[in-house]
Amino acid sequence: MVGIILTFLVAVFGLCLLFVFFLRHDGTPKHPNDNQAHVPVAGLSAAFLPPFDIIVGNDDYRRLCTMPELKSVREMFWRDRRRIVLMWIDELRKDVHILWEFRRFLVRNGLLVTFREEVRVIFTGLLALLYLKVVRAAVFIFGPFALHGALGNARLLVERLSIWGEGALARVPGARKAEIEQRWTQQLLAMGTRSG
Amino acid sequence: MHPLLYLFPCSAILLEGLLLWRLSKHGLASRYPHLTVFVLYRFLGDAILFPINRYRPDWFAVAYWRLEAITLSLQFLVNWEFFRGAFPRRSTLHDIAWKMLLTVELGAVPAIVVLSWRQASSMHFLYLHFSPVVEQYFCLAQAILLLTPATVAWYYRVPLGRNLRGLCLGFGIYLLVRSVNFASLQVFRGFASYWRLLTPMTFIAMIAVWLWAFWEYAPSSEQASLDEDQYSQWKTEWQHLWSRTMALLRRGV
Repeated sequence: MVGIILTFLVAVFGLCLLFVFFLRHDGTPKHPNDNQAHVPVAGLSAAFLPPFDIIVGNDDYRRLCTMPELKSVREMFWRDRRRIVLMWIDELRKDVHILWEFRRFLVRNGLLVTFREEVRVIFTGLLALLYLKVVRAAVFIFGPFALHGALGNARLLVERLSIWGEGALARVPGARKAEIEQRWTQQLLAMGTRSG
Repeated sequence: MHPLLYLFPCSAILLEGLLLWRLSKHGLASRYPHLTVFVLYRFLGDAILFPINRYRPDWFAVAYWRLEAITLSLQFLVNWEFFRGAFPRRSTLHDIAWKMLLTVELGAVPAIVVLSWRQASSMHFLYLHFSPVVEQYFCLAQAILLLTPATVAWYYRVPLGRNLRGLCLGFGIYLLVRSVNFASLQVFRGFASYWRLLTPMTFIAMIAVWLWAFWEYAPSSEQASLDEDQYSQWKTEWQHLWSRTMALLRRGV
């Protein structure tokens, strides 16, 4: 009976996968206009992050807490800061997606990687996305100043992926680097991630 | 046999014939030889079964299940066709897909063997000629063999082209539905009448999807560039041969 139940489950899962594969975009990036072609190599997210302590530090908030007459300002500050931290987490999540996509792009374009490395990247990417989801929910519930350590860990996970991305890019032969960078830029433009 | 039931073998033979005709166009048969062998075998098999069913119905069950056992083995050719089509060159991606396939199969095959062994030992054979348990798990294993490289291709956004996408979709649905069909046969009482209809219908649906996919040569961009490389290699070889022949002729004159 276990076998039959498993057969049903695998069949349902497999059919869903097949439809996802069939409906997806076929992976051929659209060619952007030539005047759009000069965009720096993206995806190496750590460079784009603002200083961490400014976003999640609570020095201003603590100072406001010492002044009871500014209670309404303090509450507004708390809400605004929470919104900023949530936006920052969303940006980190986008970075994870871009870094992951960058990695896949490099492998698809012939970068030499081992199977173990790929498994590690997939595992870290999934872990980072899951972690960011949990931290986002926690920030929404407990506020922006309660999870300083957790937010730091989230940033570290994304930075680790970023370092791996940079390391992979460094392994691309010099002769192909310019071509790879241009194709990656085209892909980013096709994905619409850099249109803003 | 009820005249309506002739609809299935007739449409299967018709669609297989059409598919073979399309495969013979644009050199598709040479580009997808394993698939062509499979379709040709099914076409001949169905063409043989049709008169047997009409004139010697007592032979039909034996002939059908013997041909079915061979079909089950030949389906691996379609699996291989998809893999070599999706990852045509020896590359990092090819190696990753191959290792992924090995890893998944190393996990899935022992599980399938254990499950089928236990299921076979607890169930009576439903018919004399072939065990439905073997059919169920063979199809399941082949579906996993198909889905693994398809997942790797999807993960790395490898463009497949219409030919391979259709091949994967048609074959995948056929294998999974067939596996469920044979599993249901063992669980639900009174399913046999539906099973008799579902089995040929899923096969005909697969051939119809393949016919759509292989109506014209629409490869992935990588396969297309490989074809161009091969063409330029052949051209260079031919030019080399031609100039050598001319040189030899001149020397002879």
